[in-house]
Amino acid sequence: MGTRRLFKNLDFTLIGVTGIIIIFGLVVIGSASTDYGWWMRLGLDMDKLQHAGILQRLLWMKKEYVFKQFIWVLVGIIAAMAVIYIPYEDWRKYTRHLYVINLLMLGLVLVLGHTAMGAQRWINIGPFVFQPSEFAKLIIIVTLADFLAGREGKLRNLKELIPCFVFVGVPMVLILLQPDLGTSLVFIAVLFGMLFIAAGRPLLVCGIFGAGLAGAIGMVWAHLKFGTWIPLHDYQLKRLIIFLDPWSDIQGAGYHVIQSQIAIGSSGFWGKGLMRGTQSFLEFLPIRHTDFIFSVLAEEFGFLGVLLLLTLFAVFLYRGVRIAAESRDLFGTLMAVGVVSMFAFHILVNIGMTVAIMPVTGLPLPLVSYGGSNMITNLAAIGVLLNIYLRRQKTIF
Amino acid sequence: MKRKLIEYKMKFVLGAVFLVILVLLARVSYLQLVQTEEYRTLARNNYIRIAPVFAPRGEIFDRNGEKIVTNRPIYTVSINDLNLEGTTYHLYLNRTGADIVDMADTLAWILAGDEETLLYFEQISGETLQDYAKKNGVTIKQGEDSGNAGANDEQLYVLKKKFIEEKIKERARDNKNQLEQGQRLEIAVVYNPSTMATLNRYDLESYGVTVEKKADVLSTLVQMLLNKGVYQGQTAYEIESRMRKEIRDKKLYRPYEPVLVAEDIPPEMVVALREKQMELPGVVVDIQPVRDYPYGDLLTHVLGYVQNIKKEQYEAHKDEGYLMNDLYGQNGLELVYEKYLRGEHGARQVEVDASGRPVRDLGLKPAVPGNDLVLTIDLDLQLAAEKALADGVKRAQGAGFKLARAGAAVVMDVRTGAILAMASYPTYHPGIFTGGLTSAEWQELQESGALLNRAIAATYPPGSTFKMVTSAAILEKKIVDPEYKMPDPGYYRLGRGVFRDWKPGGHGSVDLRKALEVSCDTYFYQFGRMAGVDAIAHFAREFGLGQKTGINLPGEMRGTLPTPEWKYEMVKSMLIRYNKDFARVRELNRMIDETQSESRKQELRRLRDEELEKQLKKHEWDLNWQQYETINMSIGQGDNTYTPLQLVSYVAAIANGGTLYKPYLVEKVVSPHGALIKEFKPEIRHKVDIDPENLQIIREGMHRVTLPPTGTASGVFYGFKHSAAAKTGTAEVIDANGRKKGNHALFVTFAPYEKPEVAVAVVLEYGDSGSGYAGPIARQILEAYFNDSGATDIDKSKDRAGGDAAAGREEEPAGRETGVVAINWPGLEKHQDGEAGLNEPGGTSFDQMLWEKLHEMPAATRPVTGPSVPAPLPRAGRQAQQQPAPAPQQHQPAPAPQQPQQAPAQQQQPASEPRPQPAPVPQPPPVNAPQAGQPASPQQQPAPGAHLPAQPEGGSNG
Repeated sequence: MGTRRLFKNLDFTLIGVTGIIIIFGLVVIGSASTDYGWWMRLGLDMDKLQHAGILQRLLWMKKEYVFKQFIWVLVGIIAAMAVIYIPYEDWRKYTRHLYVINLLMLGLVLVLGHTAMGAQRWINIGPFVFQPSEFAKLIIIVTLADFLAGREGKLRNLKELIPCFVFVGVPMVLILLQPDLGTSLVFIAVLFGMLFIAAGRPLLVCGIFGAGLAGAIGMVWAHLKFGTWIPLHDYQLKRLIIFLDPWSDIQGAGYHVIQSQIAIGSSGFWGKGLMRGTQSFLEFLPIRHTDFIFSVLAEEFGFLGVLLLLTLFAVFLYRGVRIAAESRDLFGTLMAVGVVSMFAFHILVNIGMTVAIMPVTGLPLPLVSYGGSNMITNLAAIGVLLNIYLRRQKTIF
Repeated sequence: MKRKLIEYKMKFVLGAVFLVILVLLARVSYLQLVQTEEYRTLARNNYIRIAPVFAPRGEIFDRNGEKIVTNRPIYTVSINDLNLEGTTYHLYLNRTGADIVDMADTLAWILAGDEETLLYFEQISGETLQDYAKKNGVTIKQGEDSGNAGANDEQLYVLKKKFIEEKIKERARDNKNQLEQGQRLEIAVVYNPSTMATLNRYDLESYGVTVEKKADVLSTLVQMLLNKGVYQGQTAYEIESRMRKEIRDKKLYRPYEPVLVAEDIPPEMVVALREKQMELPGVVVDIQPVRDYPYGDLLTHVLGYVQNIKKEQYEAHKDEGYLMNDLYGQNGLELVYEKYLRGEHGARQVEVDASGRPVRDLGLKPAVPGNDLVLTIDLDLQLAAEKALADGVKRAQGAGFKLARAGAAVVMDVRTGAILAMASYPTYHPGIFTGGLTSAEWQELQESGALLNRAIAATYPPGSTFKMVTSAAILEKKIVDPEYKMPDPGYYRLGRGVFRDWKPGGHGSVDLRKALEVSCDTYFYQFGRMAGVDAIAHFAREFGLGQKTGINLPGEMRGTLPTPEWKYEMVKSMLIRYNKDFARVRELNRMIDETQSESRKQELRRLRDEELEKQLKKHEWDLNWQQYETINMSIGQGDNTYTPLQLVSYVAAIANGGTLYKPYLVEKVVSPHGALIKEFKPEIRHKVDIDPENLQIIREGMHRVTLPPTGTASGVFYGFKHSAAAKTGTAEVIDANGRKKGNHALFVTFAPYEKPEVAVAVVLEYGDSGSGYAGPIARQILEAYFNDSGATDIDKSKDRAGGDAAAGREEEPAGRETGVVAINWPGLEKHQDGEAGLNEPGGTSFDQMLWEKLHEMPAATRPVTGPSVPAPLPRAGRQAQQQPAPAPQQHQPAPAPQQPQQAPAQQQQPASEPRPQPAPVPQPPPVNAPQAGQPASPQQQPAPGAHLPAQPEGGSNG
């Protein structure tokens, strides 16, 4: 397959949408990481900021994180290109190795884990921190797609489904041990998304999913009501359910959610303007450039900005679904559905968290949140989609 | 076909994906488009702080524009960041060598004694000690059970210890992994250095515990302030722990208000703080106005003082824009004119970041200063009055009257009622309230009696200064021709009771003017009794005595003007409360209170009323006004008590021809720009219903008081360059045991005599004699008023230490004259001015009599001599002491019907005064009525004209 033809068959809508989201994200990261304390030290003052034009404000932003993120984007693009280059059918030969490497990486985290915010998620490699659970998501998508494609037509009852659960369950437990509840939940979303396509009886899959969800909620409810056992510490549970009533702990667990809601709610239709978001600029909003980047975006760009971002995501996901549908084989379809599930789940949980309809789990907003591993994984995942799309025609004829 | 199935399933996937987007969009729209305003408000509350800019209160000027009260700016330091801990010691548990059980046990024993550390455990665990106790079935009793407090304390301590121990163990258990990985775990925070010192006695290392001392902005700041000596006598721990408490409170209900760390810091400290601004984020230096008093304690009782608004005041006035730590006038003019003086606070809108550090000013609404008061007070005269009063006290003390510690003087413009000076002694500096007082300081201040404005809030028996009222009654009722000269035997007889004049042997022949001049008691006994209590009380009321003057100051007292009705009610309530005959009444009252049924209540009430009537009839004599009381009242004794302000208004009314003005202190309220806000004009309260000629007679009498040779105040006015009129007064005070405590000295005067301008009333508690010690004070004040050069060297300098005062004063004519006066009547000892002290027969106090009655003292055991007279009846505070109670050896002049024979036997005067006994004064028959077992009543007594043969009107008018 020549490079020219490869280039011609790329999904430019997907690439375009991704590009716009990333650029949007870089601007917001710049704004979010600029706090007044740093800014004042440059000899600037607030009144100047209020009168500065948008270009001026862009120049005044703190560039450190923008540059870093930009580098990650470049790395991500290289990774994506690498992913695109090798025909995805060939990957099936290496899925076993990938699966084992994945488990080793996750095990390594548990042993060497670098503690940040009470969770051991990172490994230091030289100057870089490396978050295996991010890559694990993509690896699981690929390996699971292979696993399911191999059982095509077999997944008709619970007995046949159990190996799939075990297949995803092992790396998931390793991630839960870190503990990283959010990422392990991504695994569940991906698993059920892909099972829905692969299984012979999709209703059974939906039923299991529904029962599992109901079971989890029931357990939490029973714990709160009767004090029955659940596999969570009280503080972890509190973080999970605080979104139901953030005002019950204004200074503590509810603080993030409240500040985020204030940031989003106070911006109105037009937004407060770049770097003029009081919630973020004055540091009321915590972890602004990573988990709560959406709040900054919503505060500064208002409903218009949110509408733009969600439209871009909608187009992005639509393209993902189309690619899945147009894939020439089930392996491709399953991978594409896995990627779409992953993105959709991240978007739902991250934005949902900022607007208090989802628990605070620390999942980043794909393509927007600051973070190297996540950006590389996401771009590589897009590479997977492009790869599938690139090779769709074979069976169309 | 397979493709078709996948396409079909893909529709569901797409649907799910779009559902996700739509749900998010819907939620964001709701927040951003529907609830925008709500969240905007919340955002504003987040980043905009309104810092108040305190308005300076209005200033206070004297009538000539001299500034008496002003403001000065002080620097305050506060901290905006509420995440402060001060200096703390963090205890960390290390994995190695940690025997957790032992460690927790040992630490908990020590930490349980530290309230703040206990709070730390409550906070980190989210469980209060109360909850913990409840969970373990223990009830914590707080305070109350005094009987077993020790045991309870011990239980509580054990409980605290167990609580802490459990929390430490819990933490160690929950974070086992962390510990095992070689990380250390914070298990406690200790705030109190002494707790830390106790802990350090243990080998913490062996328990695997390390300690880290941490200092934050607060402790750095406090240390800086301590080094500069801003806090006196407090340790860093005390200050920091106070701040922490405040921070904890504020975090709950006022999370945006900065915490005040220090007030009134020196300017060099401000410079130092500004230099270190970068190291002290969140520390704000502010300027705030506080009251300043250039003349120190001058006029302090009238001005009142300013303090942080009290809770009740805040609740009552919070709609008027008061702030939580606002200032509020607490007394005097500061309180009365609060709404004019307070001004309007401005505000600074400050943008702050998440930790409360100000980012920039968004806007400033300047404060509007309060309106100024221009007083009727004359600064020079006030200074003179306070100095004169202080000198007077010193003089009296120097002469051996150690109880002479307090007094009051009031100066009034007789033409308007304007108060030119109002002094009360002792005084205090109003500025002491600025920084807040400790409770010990407050108690000391209260006990010193300095807080009381004696000019309006203390009442004194008027003594002979009351004789003008009696004169008015005698003249108006035409009891006797003012020119009629009564031969004064030096005593007056009522039945077997003998009322003596202050001067043994009497004053010779005395007419009304002379009676005032020499303060002849006999004259007023005689004719006052004839005029009757109703007439005397009427004129006392006409002159405003026993009534509030309506001056615009809080705490004015009314005093007591005794009348038959007043006495009846008073005795009745006392009888019902204490007398044994009324036990049944009390019982019935109690039953009425307890009964629910209305009909039964009515029945009981009827029974009660019957019983009450029966008993009241039995005690009729006690209840009714008696002749001797009229006689006492004629010379201003008995139950009369009035404020110095009432006395000065009364004298002013005599001076100005009978107009009773409402005394006022504030001439006008002026805005800071000089615009007139409110003006106060003289206000006539009452026109005294008296013939101007009669008033002139009284004025002449008062004028003669100041004239040699026999005027009782002639010594006082010796060498005085202006004409004046005056009256002296001396009222005896009996202590709780019935012993004589001393005499209050009173003096009233107006000047010039011909065209009166100013009236002065002076009261010197225990000042022994009106002419001796109160008079010179009044003279000093008058001299200041007339600006007599050299007469009073008034020290107007702002530093009013006045150390030379006593010495200087002795050189003054007034002072010297006083001495001369004292020597002139050596035989009288303390009675230079010659008032009927109550050790003369005649002054039986109502209180003593009543007390005896109520206690059913048998006649035989009645105290005849000695100090066994019981304490006066319970009365409010100081007034009880000031009541002129009878000397113990005294007896009721009009004896009770039960013991008719006893009184005369005890009427013995000292041998040196033999005259009264054989005195051939004819007894008017009705006076004997009591002896016949009949209670005497004024109505029954015909005019005792028997020894007034030359008095034509007397008989017909009685």
